[in-house]
Amino acid sequence: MNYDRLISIEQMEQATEILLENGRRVGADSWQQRVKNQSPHCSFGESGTCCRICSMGPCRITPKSPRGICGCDVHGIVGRNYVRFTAGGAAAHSDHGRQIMHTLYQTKEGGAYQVKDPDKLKKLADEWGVESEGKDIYDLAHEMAYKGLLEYGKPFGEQLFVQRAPEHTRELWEKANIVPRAIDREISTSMHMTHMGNSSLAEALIRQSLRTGLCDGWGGSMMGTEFSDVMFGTPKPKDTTANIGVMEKDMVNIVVHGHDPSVSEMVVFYANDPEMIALAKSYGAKGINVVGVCCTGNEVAMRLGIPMAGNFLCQENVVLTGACEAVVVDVQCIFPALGPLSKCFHTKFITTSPIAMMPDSDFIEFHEETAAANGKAIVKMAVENFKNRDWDLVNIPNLKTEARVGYSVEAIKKCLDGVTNSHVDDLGTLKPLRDVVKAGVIRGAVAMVGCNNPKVRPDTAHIELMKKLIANDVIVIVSGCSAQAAAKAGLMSLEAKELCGEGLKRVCELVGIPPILHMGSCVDISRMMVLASDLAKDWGVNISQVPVVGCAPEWMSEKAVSIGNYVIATGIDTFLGVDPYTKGSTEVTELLQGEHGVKDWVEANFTVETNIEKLGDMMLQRIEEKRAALCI
Amino acid sequence: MKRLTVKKDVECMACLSCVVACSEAFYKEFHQDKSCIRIVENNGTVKPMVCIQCGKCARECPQGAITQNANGVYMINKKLCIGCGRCKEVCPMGVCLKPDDSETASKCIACGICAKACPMDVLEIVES
Ligand code: SF4
Ligand code: SF4
Ligand code: SF4
Ligand code: SF4
Repeated sequence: MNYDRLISIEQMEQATEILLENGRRVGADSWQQRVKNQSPHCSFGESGTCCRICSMGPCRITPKSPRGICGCDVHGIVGRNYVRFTAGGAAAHSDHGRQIMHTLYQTKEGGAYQVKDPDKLKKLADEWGVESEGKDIYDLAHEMAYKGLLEYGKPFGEQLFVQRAPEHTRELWEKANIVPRAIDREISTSMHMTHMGNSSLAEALIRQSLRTGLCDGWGGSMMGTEFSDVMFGTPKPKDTTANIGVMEKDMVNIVVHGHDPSVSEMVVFYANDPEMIALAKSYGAKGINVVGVCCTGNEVAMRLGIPMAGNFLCQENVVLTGACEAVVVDVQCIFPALGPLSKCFHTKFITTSPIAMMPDSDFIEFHEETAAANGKAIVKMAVENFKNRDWDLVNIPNLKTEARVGYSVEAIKKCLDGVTNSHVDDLGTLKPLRDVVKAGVIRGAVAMVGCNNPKVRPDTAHIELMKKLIANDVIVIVSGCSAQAAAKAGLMSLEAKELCGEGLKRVCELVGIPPILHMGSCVDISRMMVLASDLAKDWGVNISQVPVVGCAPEWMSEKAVSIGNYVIATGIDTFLGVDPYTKGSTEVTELLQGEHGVKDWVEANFTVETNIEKLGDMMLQRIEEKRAALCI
Repeated sequence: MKRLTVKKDVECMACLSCVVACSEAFYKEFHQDKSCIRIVENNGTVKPMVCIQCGKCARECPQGAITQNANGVYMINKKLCIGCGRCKEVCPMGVCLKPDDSETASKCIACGICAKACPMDVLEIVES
């Protein structure tokens, strides 16, 4: 069962304990302590039954006060809170996508940002009905950027990428009246609908949640993914390393954290700049080591092979090593705690975006136009900080393992081409995958995503579920912090095949893939939507019939709820390990989790189960049910 | 005897309204450590900890500053209290206070301010 590169949860926890001890020496705060301070949590908030949408409130629903002052009942309150949660997530993802489109607009020959995958750009142009023939690639990039940006506010019509979905799926959306329109419109409509004195009908609110989720997954996020590929390259399988031991004692360590690859790509570029490396050496360092945390880490890992230091709840650990010269952040999932924490060490906490401004940070505003200069200034600041290290505090736990990352849809198809008989079969399809699933060699697939949440023992749910699934011949595709959990544990190395059931093991050997496939960051869950659509099309069945389910066992952010909405709306049953603040309403719970709610509209629903063992069993059972229904 | 009690069959939501009310009433500010009622979580169950008027604090006090009033409620005589904090140490419920920035100790006087603030009617003042 064990091979030597597997790192256990206990080993990771021991490492964290050593780091916390380091922190205690300098009076550092930690999320572990703050969780204690914040417990117990308010159950009104946790069950979604507190409304503070207008200043007559806040209103809390209790047995003696079943309605808010305006008369809204618990279902309306829980439903409105749920839509707003979704809108927050869709806004974050989509604004990330918008940023990417602005960056695309700035690309130029020889510039800081360039088109690295012109073929993909042309394919996308084709999809969007933009003529690319005979056009300069940068003119095309700018035209596509402009068209993409219009997707955010176009007065009429639906999201362009909706056309990628199978016909049946589009019909369902049409019928349910949830086809995503302009991205900003869906988010605005969500805010408008939930303003005091508008919708309190749970059903209408949940419908809008799905629609808002779809404008993210099939709009903003999809643009973020596709055009990041255009600029930075479509990911291909790449070897890298993971876990806290990727920090290097003798080097300048720069941690990139956040989500937007526009910033981290520049940091990596200048960390490889001979001038900067010489500068680092002049300070006595052996070189410059860039490592990633959270989704920015995923972005640069899968394109540039940058090591992954950890996921969401490891963000304080990198500073606690005492060997971190700078944490460079862009947007989303950045603990405001990093500011005060960095002050306990020599670490520079560098914020770069007006979207994420925090106290106790050095703000170097990152502009697409001046990206090169900004990137260089950031790297320089980190390098110059090396001399301020307190060597007594340097303590890097020796945990490090290998991972193969970078499985975009294109890369997966390419891998499958390797096992296709090119004389008989088409290349560039998912048919070989369909065939092994049909044959039962692989039982199905689980798309495992999402964050960490202290409500779950960190990484345990991700890792234990993955092990269970692959042992049962279920292939796992991952993104976001779930991907990093797998990488940290060693489950993304080719040797992890030893943990698989016989069928999956054979497939891994034959195709040369790890059993856990890294598909990228959280906006890249859009890749999973494309994969599911293409698989359904190649199979000739509906997405909801394919033995594939989604799972977010340790999710915490609004973005995760937005994702959940678009994943179920796409027809994929989704299993959550943390409740989305909805248990206060039977109606909302029934709509999202019951047999007659979203399930009637989009053929999929949520399952919430905080017992992780049970959650795993339920997923396996659902996969088998889907197989049985297909008579395979 | 008059005292604050926690109803058995009503769910505490851990909203801390009672804690806010108590600390604001007696210390003019909200601080969890300045409330004579505490909300604790044990194995996933949330429970308010309230003063049971057991008198342990009174017996421990070297100054005899804590005595029972006519209703049986233990009251601290601020004039006698020297702020040694012994009462705080012996309180089995952890609700006898001696904040660092206060000269004297304080404890629950069964006034019912917290019970009024509770949206769930978890708390009540009983006289027996
Ligand atoms: S919108 Fe209604 S339920 Fe919400 S705070 Fe105002 S009055 Fe209360
Ligand atoms: S404050 Fe504590 S020790 Fe004093 S009477 Fe109340 S419960 Fe007993
Ligand atoms: S702090 Fe005051 S009331 Fe408490 S034991 Fe000391 S003297 Fe008595
Ligand atoms: S006010 Fe009531 S419901 Fe809220 S924490 Fe106190 S006892 Fe519990």
